[in-house]
Amino acid sequence: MIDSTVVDLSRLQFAATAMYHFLFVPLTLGLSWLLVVMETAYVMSGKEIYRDMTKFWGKLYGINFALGVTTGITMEFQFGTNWAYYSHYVGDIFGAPLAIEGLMAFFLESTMVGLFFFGWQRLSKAGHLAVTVLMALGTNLSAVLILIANGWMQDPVGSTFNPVTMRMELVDFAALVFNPVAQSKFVHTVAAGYVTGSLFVLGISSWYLLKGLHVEFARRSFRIAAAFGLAGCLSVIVLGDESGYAVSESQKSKLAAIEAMWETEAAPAGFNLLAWPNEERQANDWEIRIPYVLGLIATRSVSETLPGIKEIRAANRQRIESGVQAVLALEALRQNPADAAAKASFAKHQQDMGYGMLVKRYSPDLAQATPAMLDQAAHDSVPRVAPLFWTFRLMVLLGFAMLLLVGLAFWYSVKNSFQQKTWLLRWALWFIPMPWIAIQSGWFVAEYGRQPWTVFGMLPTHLSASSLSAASLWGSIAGFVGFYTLLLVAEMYLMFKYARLGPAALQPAAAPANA
Amino acid sequence: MSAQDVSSARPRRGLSAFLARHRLACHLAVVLLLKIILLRVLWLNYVAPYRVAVDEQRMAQQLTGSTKQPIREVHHDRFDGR
Ligand code: HEM
Repeated sequence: MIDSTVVDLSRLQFAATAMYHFLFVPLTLGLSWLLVVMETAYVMSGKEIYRDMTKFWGKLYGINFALGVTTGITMEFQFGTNWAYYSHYVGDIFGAPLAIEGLMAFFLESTMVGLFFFGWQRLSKAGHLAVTVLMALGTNLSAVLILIANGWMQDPVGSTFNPVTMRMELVDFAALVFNPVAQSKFVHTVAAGYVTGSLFVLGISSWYLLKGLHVEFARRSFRIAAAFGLAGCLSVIVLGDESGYAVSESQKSKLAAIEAMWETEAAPAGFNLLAWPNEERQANDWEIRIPYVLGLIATRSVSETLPGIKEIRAANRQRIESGVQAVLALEALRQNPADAAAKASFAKHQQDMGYGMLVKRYSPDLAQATPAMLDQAAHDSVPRVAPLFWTFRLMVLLGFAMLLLVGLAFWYSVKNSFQQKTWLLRWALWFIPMPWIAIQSGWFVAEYGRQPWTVFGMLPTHLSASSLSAASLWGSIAGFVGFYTLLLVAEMYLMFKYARLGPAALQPAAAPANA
Repeated sequence: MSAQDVSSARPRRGLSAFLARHRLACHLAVVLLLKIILLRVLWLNYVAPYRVAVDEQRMAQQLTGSTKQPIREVHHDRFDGR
């Protein structure tokens, strides 16, 4: 039997490392474009203060970039070490964008990071600005390629299963790259990064203003962050809506769980603003509903129905039955490739094969699977509702709260009176961690919401993990968490140190490395 | 002029001259070498022994689960060739 402890621990390890990694990434994404804005202001106006701003925020960017790289590299290895079956099954497809990311985007980014820090004396003003732009492009290109890989796991387009090699093979590279799910994830995620960068700069600048430190420097940084943050927040919300639409097209089970929608209702479906989902009863204990809203947002139509969880499970039950036939036919074909009946059966049921594999959690031999096992597998085919329902609402709530903050910050920047609004400055300071909370919630929604699949509809999570021992997994989890916590402490220490120093950190005595 | 002065003024030759001229390159080469050795040691001790051999046969066994060879997810399927 498959050892579910090993699968759960492998998931825990991946989730933990990914969550640590994604503490660093969004700030890198956001700060990179803020640096471009600041340096452009320097090149256009020739004012030294903008160069100092670019250098100072660039220093914080550098610290963050280094830790992001350190935590990111290990994740790529985990596919091989912890997810060997997954890697065999889909590595030819999933590996392509990852390899392009490493060889193209990451190399571009890291080369430009070097030139950014050490090129101030050696490059012309315009040349250095070009480096900063390329650095930001490299960072964003990295994100697009990683999200193409993740988008394919959410919606595996452009590929087909080869029963001889027992792998998925890529048949349409353009479909992989232009996968609408990947594109909507990319724009939503980078916009989340821009919000993070903006709130970081806004919060630290507010702290300087509250303390009366580096006032001119902080005022200009505040203004730029407010404008960039407003654009970022508006984008993240509009593009979040786009992500929701993409999910409604490709993963109805995720959407139904996010919305705690147990029953299918007449179009356009109502939106549960708040509810108390009860998994056992398959109903909400109570709910506050806004009529029509979900249907309109998720389908962009008044007539399209959205299936509820019960209907999705019933439909999946049928797909599971058909999928079991596919797996049995595949097994027969592997014994005797000339078996015509098996060939016909496989061709008929192939598109449901992944669903058949869901039953392997309960019965290693699918020929022996009982109806109760099939029912259980159908039940598993929709993720648990409450965790998704609440994390999604947390993300959305924070999105609107941050929009209000940057909206006001922008308004008072235009009116040139933000310095007097100490409540706004305090709010900005306390809101520095909020984008991170929203982002971690977002990733939880995306990844937990995809369960029980690693590749949606194709490969169940419990068949993807390597056959490691629980002891070695506990060991590596402890190692990763311990080491990454140290890195996080180091990052926080350096960030606090340089943020406290402010632009004084640019003086050689404060920073001998001039980095 | 003392003997010491004479020797320090004399242009150095061979390896020491080369090392003096390319100090940075030498430092980088040493660091790179140490890094490679460290990574190799880590790999041999912590990664290679845990390699999971997956081929189409094992994948078929994992996905279709032949009745003759039920998959048991314990230590047996470790690849221990180094
Ligand atoms: C306010 C309205 C928002 C809506 C409607 C929204 C919608 C969504 C949806 C539907 C997903 C899941 C996509 C999938 O599973 O493929 C998602 C994921 C995510 N969200 Fe949001 N979101 C909002 C705000 C935010 C904010 C404010 C942030 C952070 C600053 C954020 C960061 C993320 C991240 C990092 C992910 C995971 C990556 C991805 O799947 O795109 N979201 N969001």
